[in-house]
Amino acid sequence: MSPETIDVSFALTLSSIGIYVHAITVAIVIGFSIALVVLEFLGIKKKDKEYIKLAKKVAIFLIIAFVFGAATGTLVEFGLIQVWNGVILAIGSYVFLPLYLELVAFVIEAGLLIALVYTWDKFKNPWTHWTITVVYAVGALFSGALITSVNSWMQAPWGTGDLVKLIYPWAPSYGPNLSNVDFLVELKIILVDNSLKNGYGPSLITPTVLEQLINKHGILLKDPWVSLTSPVALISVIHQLLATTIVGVFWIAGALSYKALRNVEKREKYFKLFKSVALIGAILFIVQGIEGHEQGLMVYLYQPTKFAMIAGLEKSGAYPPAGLTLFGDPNYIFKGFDYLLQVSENHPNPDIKIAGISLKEIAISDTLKALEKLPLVKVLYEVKLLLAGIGVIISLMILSTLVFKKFWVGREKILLYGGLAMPFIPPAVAGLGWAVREIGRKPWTVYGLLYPEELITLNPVNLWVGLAILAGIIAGLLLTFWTAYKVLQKPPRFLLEVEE
Amino acid sequence: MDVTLPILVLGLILLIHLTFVNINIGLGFYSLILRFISLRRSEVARTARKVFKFLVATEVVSGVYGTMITVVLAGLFPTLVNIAATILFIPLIISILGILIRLTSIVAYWYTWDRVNVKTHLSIGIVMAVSGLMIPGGFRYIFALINNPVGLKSLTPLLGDPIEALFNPVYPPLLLHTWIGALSIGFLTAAAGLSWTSRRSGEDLEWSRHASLLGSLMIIPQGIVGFWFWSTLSFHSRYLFNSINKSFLPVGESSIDMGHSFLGMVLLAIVILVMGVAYYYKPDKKVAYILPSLAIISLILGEIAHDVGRLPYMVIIGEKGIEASAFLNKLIIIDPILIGVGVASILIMTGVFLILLYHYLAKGFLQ
Repeated sequence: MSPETIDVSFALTLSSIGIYVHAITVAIVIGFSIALVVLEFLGIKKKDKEYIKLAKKVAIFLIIAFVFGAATGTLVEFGLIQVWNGVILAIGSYVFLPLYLELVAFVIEAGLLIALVYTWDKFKNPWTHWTITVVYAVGALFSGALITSVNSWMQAPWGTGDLVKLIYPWAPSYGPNLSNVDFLVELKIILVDNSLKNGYGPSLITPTVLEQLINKHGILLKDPWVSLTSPVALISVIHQLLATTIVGVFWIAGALSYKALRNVEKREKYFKLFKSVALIGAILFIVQGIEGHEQGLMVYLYQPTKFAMIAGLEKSGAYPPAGLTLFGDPNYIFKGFDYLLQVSENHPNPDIKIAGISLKEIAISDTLKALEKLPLVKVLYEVKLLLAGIGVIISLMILSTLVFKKFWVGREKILLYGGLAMPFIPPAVAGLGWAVREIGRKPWTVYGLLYPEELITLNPVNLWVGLAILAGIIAGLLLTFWTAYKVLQKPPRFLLEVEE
Repeated sequence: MDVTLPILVLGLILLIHLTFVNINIGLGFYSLILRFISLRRSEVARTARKVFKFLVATEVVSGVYGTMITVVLAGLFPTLVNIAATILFIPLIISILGILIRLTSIVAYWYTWDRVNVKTHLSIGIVMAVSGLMIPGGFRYIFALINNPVGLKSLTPLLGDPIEALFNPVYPPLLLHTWIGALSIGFLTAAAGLSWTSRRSGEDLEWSRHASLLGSLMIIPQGIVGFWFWSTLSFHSRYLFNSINKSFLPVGESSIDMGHSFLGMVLLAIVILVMGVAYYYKPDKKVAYILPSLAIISLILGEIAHDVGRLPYMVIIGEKGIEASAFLNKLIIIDPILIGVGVASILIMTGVFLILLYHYLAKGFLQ
């Protein structure tokens, strides 16, 4: 393994850790904000102080976690521009608008979170405060949606038309061609050429190189809104927001079920709160199951290698879950890696070369690299499905309390134990899903267009860098949860006011 | 797109960011000092908490605008960000770690007040205050780099020496100037806030006076370091030196004259020194309220002299440089209206937030 390869795989691992840690707070921020909206609504509507008290606790925890989320968000942001410098090209073009709009969402989110905590009980009409909570939650969702759309562009580079297909004949079209193909092709040639010679692409993201390309070919992208118009972005946004909401909501439900099981005297109170929160999670979990079909369809349509990895199709064949849901036929034959390789072998443009390597060679080599990931992705996906199945059963149990009320009288403990499992199952499902999404797009960072090796920094991303970042993350995480624990142990005045 | 709008947008958010960052770094230290004093005089803990309350409420503004700077820079000046991220790899990691620790320790310091023993709380406070210095500790290297690109070996292909970049001679005086300035502005803000609260809590006046004295006396070391920075520029960033001295010194070539901003900053600093000391001996609320305003105007004038003084260049190399327009994003056509609408909505939201904050501080603070 060359030093460059070690750097790339280490940097990828480091980025994954950063993203996963950030995801914990994203789940809290998005999931808790939805729970907050519902709990405050129920509290005001039913004039029930228990709901308001819980809502306030959620808000306090939210503000503590939000700060850590903002910090780790900065870490992820700098991870992109500092470790994966090449992505700066995308930030300056395809994903500029979502990132720019995200600033507006972030301001709404951050400002209103402070406002909602500090103005609680300050309005005569409680619905005024609830309105702030709702707008805050919208800001949080909007922010999550825009960031997901950035990732989605890297999954399916919308607006590049048939460009990927030019290199990989098995690839689909990625929407209308709004890109300057000559510009992109020459950029790719420069990056590959430089990667082969020096090992790093970002050394060419300089004013001189870009100026030359622009003077020669014109601007890179005609429509800066393109990443927001992608169907992959739309479906991914829904899928991602549902996933994070479910995780966050079930963390609250899990804490309530623990309290209910521990405190027999107050079990009734905690069970009531648990049921309200868990019902939100259960409904969303079922909706997510249905939406997952759409997400799967997007993978099938726009990421053929990832679909083959998930389905374990080294050779073309049936994949009953997808066959049944997509075509109503469990025996439908899907194209596997054998087909993708065969199409690459019969490349329609075998003589075109990028940096001295023929497109045919590139297509075969990269398809084989993708095939290497099949065993890992398949296992991750199957474990995800298994856990999702358990999650569905528990969610259906929770939902059944709406219909079979009498049945559950005296059997509450079963539901509470189910509630104890749910803080672990949805995060595991979401985490595995994200791993499938990210590993499944390899060997590319921007699917079919750019490799990690072309985007990584010129600087060595070594053990010391990794340890420094990990130490910061761990310190921040510990400090955050310790603070939250201390606050909940000795509640602040505005929580006690509800008790009075 | 012409380079004017991106420069204006960047300048505006940078000034808002720096204003709040400076205030907050200083407030964090002053709260910590008062917290130490509260070990001997327990009643001072309340004052320490009031000082920190303002920091907690406004940190969000500096944080949000900090994020904006990154996105706007990467979106509007992508190649400049690539150069900085490559050459300043180590300093930027220090800043990121600083942000991570600073934000979480602010929350911890605030929410564990009276929930943990005083010494543990003070330890968190030290982490909170010191991590605040770490952030400019890394980011000021960017300004040092564009003043004097030490470590940049070649622009195309981009080659640099991140270790050599650490020894940029412009950096030490710039950083010290930033740190002392931040403490000064923060202390003077604390002086104004505590003067306000002293209407109901008389004991706060004593700490308002001390804050004013400390904040204004900081002008003396600030002047010495400022002179060091100024003379360093004369050797290592000639064009910028020419720009800020054009009005009153026989200097070389510069197409921009920032002498007025530079002189304005220096004169205001002298006024702050005099008024701050005068307030210590003879407290007058009006003086207390004027002090932080003057300090912020002085900061803004200094930053304008420093940053506008580079124009039309973004990176200075001797008496010339690389023009800002060379780094401008030309990959796409960015609609100026869109940029304007985005910035306007963020400014409006900030305004709403500050109004809410005023009500919160005016009511919550006093009661």
